[in-house]
Amino acid sequence: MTGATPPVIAIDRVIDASPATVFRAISHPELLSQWLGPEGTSCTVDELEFTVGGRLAFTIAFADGSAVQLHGYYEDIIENRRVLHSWAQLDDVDISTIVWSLEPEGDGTRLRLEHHGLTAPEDVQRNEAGWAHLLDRLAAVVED
Amino acid sequence: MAAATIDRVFFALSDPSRRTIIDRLDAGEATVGEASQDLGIAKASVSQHVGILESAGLIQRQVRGRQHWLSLRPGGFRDAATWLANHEEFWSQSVDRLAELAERLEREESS
Repeated sequence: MTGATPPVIAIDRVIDASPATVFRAISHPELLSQWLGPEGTSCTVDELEFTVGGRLAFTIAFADGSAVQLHGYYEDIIENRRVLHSWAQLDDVDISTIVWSLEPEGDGTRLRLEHHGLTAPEDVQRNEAGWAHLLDRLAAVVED
Repeated sequence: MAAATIDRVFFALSDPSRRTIIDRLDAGEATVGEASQDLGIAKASVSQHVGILESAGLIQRQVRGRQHWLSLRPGGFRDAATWLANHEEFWSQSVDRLAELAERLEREESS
């Protein structure tokens, strides 16, 4: 169902590095820990088995001393092109999905990250109109 | 805000009848009858739609006399907006850092 519903969050970036390098940075624990998490946080990879069915688990420590533990399982891996894994807080029942897509663009890579949610029933199609409606309202709230 | 809560917001807005009800309440409080007028749906479906909007925290119901009055719940969308902003920031900053790292690796390897 992941492909059928619009993502909750989508981020596109063109990176001045080959898909192989970007893929390496998202699949190797010693590289992943260098970028995962917002500015000012530090990430420790507790487990990373980069294979379909394998688990990734990590801790993100914030500057104020708090920390959050997250984990997920790899569901799809296509070398240099795509990685799909589940995503949840360790003590939380809500599971969402992260999809990484890599495409060559010039000498670089077009990277797209999608955060798909979340726990809606399988038969629900969050159609485009519903998404547009929510975005309009969120924009209105933010501009208040 | 839990992921399940924002999911309920998305689900609530996935239906055109429910979006119409929300839009009508934007103009102010209305009875269930007014808010669901001319939607061409059965009474039973109307209460189901109202229930879904309520459980998503988007609207609230007040019973006065024999009428059920509906209004938008203040902050109902704000919770979703905050949730979204936090997650968006997490990923957009992570991707920025990922881009920097990948570009540095490639420079180091080619030099």
